[in-house]
Amino acid sequence: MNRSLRLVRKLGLARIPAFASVATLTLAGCYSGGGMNDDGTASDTDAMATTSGGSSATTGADTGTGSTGDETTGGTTGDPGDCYSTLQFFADEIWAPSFSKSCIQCHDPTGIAAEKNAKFLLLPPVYPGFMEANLANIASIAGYSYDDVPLILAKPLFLTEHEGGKVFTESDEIYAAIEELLVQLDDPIECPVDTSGAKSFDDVDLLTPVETLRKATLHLSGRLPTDEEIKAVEEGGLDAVALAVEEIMTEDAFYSRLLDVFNDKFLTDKFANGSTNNAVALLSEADFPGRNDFVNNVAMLPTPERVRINQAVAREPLELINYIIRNDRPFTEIITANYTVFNPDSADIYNADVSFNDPNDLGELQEGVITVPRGGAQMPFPHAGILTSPMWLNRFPTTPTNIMRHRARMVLFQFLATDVLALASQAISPDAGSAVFNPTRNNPDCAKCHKLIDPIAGAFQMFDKNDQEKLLDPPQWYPEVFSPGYLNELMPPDQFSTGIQWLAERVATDPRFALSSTYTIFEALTGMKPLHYPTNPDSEFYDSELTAWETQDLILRSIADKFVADNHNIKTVIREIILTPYFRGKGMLKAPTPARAAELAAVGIGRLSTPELLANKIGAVTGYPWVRSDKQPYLTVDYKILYGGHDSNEITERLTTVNAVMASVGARMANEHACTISAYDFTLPADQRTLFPLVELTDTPDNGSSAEIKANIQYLHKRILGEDLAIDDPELARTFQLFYDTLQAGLDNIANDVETTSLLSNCRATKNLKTGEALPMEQQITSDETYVVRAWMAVVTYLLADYRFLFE
Amino acid sequence: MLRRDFLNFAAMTGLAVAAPRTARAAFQPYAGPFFVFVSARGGWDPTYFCDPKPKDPSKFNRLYDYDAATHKVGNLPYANIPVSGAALGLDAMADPYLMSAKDFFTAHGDQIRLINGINTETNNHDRGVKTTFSGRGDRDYPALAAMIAADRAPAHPLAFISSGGYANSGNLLPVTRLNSVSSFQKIASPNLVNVADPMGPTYHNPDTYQRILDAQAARTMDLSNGNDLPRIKTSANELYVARGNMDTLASVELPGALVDLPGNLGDLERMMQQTQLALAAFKAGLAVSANIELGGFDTHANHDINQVRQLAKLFHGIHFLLQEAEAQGLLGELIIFVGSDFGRGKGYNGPGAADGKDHWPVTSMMAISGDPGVIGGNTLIGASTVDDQLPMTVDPVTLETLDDPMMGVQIKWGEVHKAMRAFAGIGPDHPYSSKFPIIAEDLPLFG
Repeated sequence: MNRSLRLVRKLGLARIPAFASVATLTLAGCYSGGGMNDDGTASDTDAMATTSGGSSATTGADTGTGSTGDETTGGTTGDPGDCYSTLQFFADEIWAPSFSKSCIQCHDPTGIAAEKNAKFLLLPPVYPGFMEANLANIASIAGYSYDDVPLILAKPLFLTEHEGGKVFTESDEIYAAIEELLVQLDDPIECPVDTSGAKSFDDVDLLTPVETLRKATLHLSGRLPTDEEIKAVEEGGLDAVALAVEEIMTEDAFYSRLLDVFNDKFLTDKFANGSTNNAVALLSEADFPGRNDFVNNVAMLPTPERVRINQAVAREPLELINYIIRNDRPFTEIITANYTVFNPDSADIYNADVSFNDPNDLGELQEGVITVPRGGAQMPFPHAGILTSPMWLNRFPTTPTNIMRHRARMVLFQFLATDVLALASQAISPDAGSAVFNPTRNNPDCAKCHKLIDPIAGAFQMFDKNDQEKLLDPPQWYPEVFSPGYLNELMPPDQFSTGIQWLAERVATDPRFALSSTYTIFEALTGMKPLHYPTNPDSEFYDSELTAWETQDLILRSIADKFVADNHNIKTVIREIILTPYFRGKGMLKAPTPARAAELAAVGIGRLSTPELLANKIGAVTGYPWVRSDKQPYLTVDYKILYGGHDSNEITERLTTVNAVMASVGARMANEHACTISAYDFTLPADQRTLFPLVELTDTPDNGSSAEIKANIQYLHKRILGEDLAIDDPELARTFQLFYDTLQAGLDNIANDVETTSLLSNCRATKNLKTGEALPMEQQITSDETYVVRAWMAVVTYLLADYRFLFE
Repeated sequence: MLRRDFLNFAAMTGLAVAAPRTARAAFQPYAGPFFVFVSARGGWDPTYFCDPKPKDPSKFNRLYDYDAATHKVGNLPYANIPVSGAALGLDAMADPYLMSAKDFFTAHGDQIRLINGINTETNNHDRGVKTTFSGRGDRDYPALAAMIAADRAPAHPLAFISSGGYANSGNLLPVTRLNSVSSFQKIASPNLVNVADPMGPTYHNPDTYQRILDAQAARTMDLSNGNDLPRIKTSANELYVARGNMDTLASVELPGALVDLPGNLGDLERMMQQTQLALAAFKAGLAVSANIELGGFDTHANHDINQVRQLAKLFHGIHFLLQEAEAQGLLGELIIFVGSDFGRGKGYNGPGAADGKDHWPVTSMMAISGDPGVIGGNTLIGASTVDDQLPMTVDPVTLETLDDPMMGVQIKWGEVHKAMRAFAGIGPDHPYSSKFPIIAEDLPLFG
C-alpha cells in the first residue's frame, strides 16, 4: 500500500491552515551564513538561502487561507475528506526515502555544505521538531531558482554548481515528490491533531473517564478519588476528568510528586538523600557565612534537624520549580526567574534577606535573592531560575578546561531536548585534533559541536571554574573559544556579567523548550521516553515505528503548542497527556496485526510503578503505608535501588523492566503489609474499614456467608486493583477459591496441630496503626480460631502483588 | 491467545520474551564462565599505567621515569608510579587498599591480556562508554554483558547485574541492581518473617503461600494472553518471567556484611561491595554477567594525584575481585574485561602541578581470566606511538605491531568487540551478530 494513503487513514486528520508553529523553530541557527543575493538567487557558493535564524514564516496560518477538515486537500493524496499535511507528505515522500539518507550526509549542520555556508540545511532527528524545521527551511528557499528551475532541484540535478554532484534525475520519484512539495508550499496544508487519539487509536480500548480519574489521582496525588469526584466524572465524562485533575494539582501531595518528577531530570537530590551536610558543605565559606556554623559545629544540632536543614538547602531548585507551578507562573520561569525561593531553614544558610509570615512553618516559601560579599558590598546573584541555583551548578560542575561546556550540554539536554553528544555521529580521528591549533574552533571535526556548545557555555562565565557556585567579578571568558551567544546571536559584552539571564530568555522562547517540557511530563506520566525517529529502514517494522513516531510527535507537538498558548502553563501539559491514549490505553478492541502491535508498543497501561509511586499507592488503597519503624516508607529507603529507583548520584536512571529482584520486593511487600493490616482492619467498625467493610470474622462459606465474602472480594478487586467486575466474573471466582482453599487447609492444619490458632505476633492487631496506641484488650485480635484472618491475609497478599497493582 | 501464539506474536514484535520455568521444574544453576565488565568511568590514562611513555614534561609524562627494558612485568609494560595514601590525598589508613600498576601486573600479569593503542574514535563520555562496552557508538546496541547473559541464561533471575557502566540491555533481558545485603536477604525469602531465623515463622503457611503464587501466576498469564494491548502483554509477560525463578534468590549466600573501608574510599568500597554481591550471585548459579564501575577518572585537573589515586583503587578493586573469586572457587570460570570511556592526553592541559589531561581517543583495555590459559595472559597487543600517542597498526594475522601506519589494521572497539563476542560464544553466525552487526576487521585478539 502506498505509505501516504495508509498514513492518511491511520491518522485520520483533517486539513487546516499551514504550519504556523514551524516558522518559529530555528534550524540550528548557530550556522551563520551568507551567500544569498538580494534578488533571491543563489550566490556563487553552494548557498541555498535562508533567513537569519533558520526558518521564516510561511504562508497559511499567517494569511488565513487554509481550509477546514471537510474541504478537499488540493494537491495531496488520500481519500476525500482525509487530511494529509504538507509536513506529512514531506516526511513520507521526501525525508524518509531520500533526504534522510543522501542529502543529510553533507547538508546536516555539521556537514560539508554547512561549512560552506549553504542555506539548505537539514537537521537530523536528534533535534526535536527536526521535521518541521527542515520543511520550514525548504519553504524559506523555495522561491530561489537557477535558470527557472527551482534551486532545490537544480542543485541535485547538477544544472548548477553542486559539490555533491548529480544526485537524481528528472525521472526519479524523488524529483516528482520535490516538485509536488514545492506546489504544496504555495499553500501548505496542516491538519488538526486529535490529541485524544480517537482516530489514530480507534482500535485501542481506553480507560473510562472514571478509570482515568482513578489512575490520574493515584499517580498525581497518591490517593483514591473521592465519591464526589467520581460522581462528577460519571456525569461529566472526560471534561470532568480534566477539571478534577486541575483540582488535584492544587494539593500538597501533587507537589511531592513533582519533586520526584523534576529530580529525575535534575538529580539535585544527590545532595539531600538523608545527608547531614552534603548540600550545605558545597557552599563556600566566604560567600555563605551562614553555612559555617552548621558545617563546622556538627554537634550543634541533632541529626534529624541537620538532615532537614541540609535537605532544604539541597531542594532549593526543586522547590523553586514547585513554587512556580503552584503559583501558576509561566513554566519558563524555571530558567528565567530573577529570584529563587527559601524556606526558614534554607534562608539562614543562603543568607537570604527574606522574612516569613511564620518562621516556624517550614513549608512556607518566600522569594528572595542570593547575595554574596564582593568589594565591601553585597553582590546579587544574576538569578536565572535553576540555572543559577548553587545546587544545579554543583550537580553539573565544570573545570578550568571544561569551561562550562558540561553545563552548556545540560542546557541543551534538559531544557531543549537536544542531545548534543548525538550530533557527533561521525568518528573522530585521533590525529586530526593535534594537527590544528585550537582545534575546538579551527578543526571542523571539533568545531561542528563546539560551535553550538561553546557560546552557551560562555553564558556561564560569571561563575568560577573551580568553585562551582562562586560568582566572579568581573566575569571571565576566553578569546580562543567561540564567543558567548545563542545559536547565531552574539551576546553583547555588556551582558556578560548577567549573561546567564540573557541566555535563559532565549532558551525559554526556543520552541524546543516547550517540547522539552512536554517530553518531561510525558515521561513522568507514562514511564516512557518519547519515541526516537526510527533510523533503521531495514528494521522489520520500520513503517510501524515510523507511524508510531509520527503519531506521537504530532500529539506531543500539539500539546506543546497548547502549553505555549496557555502562558507556558505546565499543568496544561499534565492534563492533556492524561487524556491521551498513551496514558489511557487499557486493551485492544480487536487483535492487532504484528505491524499494528509494533505501532502501539508504547501505548497505554504497562508502566511499572516507581518505588515512590508504589509507596503512595499502597497507602492510598489499603489506608496504611508500608513503613519502617521510623515511619519512612520501605520502598523509598530499604528497597529503593532494588526496586529500580535511583539515588541521583551513582545511579541516575530508573529501571523500567521488572526483574526477579523487583518481583520479590513486591512479594515481600504484599506479605508484610497484608500481615500488618488484615487483622487490624477487622478491629474497626465496618463502615470505617478500608479492606473488609462487607464481612465479619464470623463470615465463612460454611455458615452461609459466601455471598458476603464474594461481595467483599468484589470490593477488594475494585479498591486495590481498580477492577469493576461483575459478581460472577471468573476472576472473583479465582480469588474466592483462594480464600476458600486457604481457609479449609488452615482449619485442617489447626485440627491436625500443624498450625496453631494464634496469629503470628507481627500480624496481630494490638495497636492503632495510625496513632501507635495500644488497642483496648477487647478490641485486639491475636488469635484466629476460624482461620478467617489468615484466609483474608492470603487474599490481600494475592491482590497487593498483582500485576494491576504493581503496574499502572 | 495461546501461549505458543503469544510467543510467536512477541517474537515478531520484538517483545522481550524468555520462557519461564514451569511451576516446579528443576532449576539448572548457571555454572560459568562468569563475565565481569569493569568500567573506569571518566576516561583513564593508559600512559599512567600500561602504555608508559618516556618522561618529558612537555609531552605525556611528567611524573615518572620510564625505561622500557626495565619497567615491565613479563611482557606487560607499566608506569612506575609508587602509590601511597599520603601522597594521593588520602592517609596511611588507605594504603592497604591502593595498588600500583607494577604490583598489579606482578600479581596478575599472567592472567592479563593487554591491548594498547585502541582508537576509540571519540572524545565524548557517553559515546565512549557506549562504544567501549557495546562495540558501536553510533547505535544503541546492548552491552556485551547483556548479550552474553541473554545468550546463556536469559531467564536466570540475576542473569545481568549492572551496578554502573553501560547497562543497555537491548530489551534482551531485564537488568538487575543489587546494593544491600539485609534488604536482599529479606526479599530473597519474602515469606520469612525474620531472615536471621531461616527456620522461623512465615507470614503464610508454606502451602498457602504456594497457593497464592500459583494463583498469581495463572492470573498474570491469563492477563497476558487475554489482553492484546502490546504494552500490557509485554509487561505482564515480563512479570510472569521474573517470578518464574524468584524462589531461587534464597540460594544466594551473601556475606555477613559488605566491605567497609576507612577514610575517603567510598567509591572503592562501593566497587568492592558490588563485587561481593556479583560473586554471590555467580556462586548461586543465578548470574552470568555483571557490570562494575569505579568513577573519578575524568581528571581535567590534578591529574598526577587524582588519576594515580583512582588507578590505584581500580587495581586494588580488581585484585579483590580475583581474590574473592578464588576464595569462592570461582576463579577458573571468571573472565574480566576492563575499559574506560577513552584515554587522556595527549599532553597536559597546563604546566602547573594542579593541571590535568583532557580527553584523548586512544586508550587501552585489559582482558583478565582467572585461569591464565583461558585468555592467554602475559600478552601485550598493540601500541601507541611514543611521540604522538597515536594508535599503531597491527598485522591482522600475527598481531605484531607495525611501524608503517599504512599497513595492517588499526585496532578500534569494533575489532575488539568482534573478537570479544567470538570469545564469548557470539560468533558471526549467532543471531545477535545479525541483529547487532559490527563492521570491523577480524583480528585474533583473544586467540
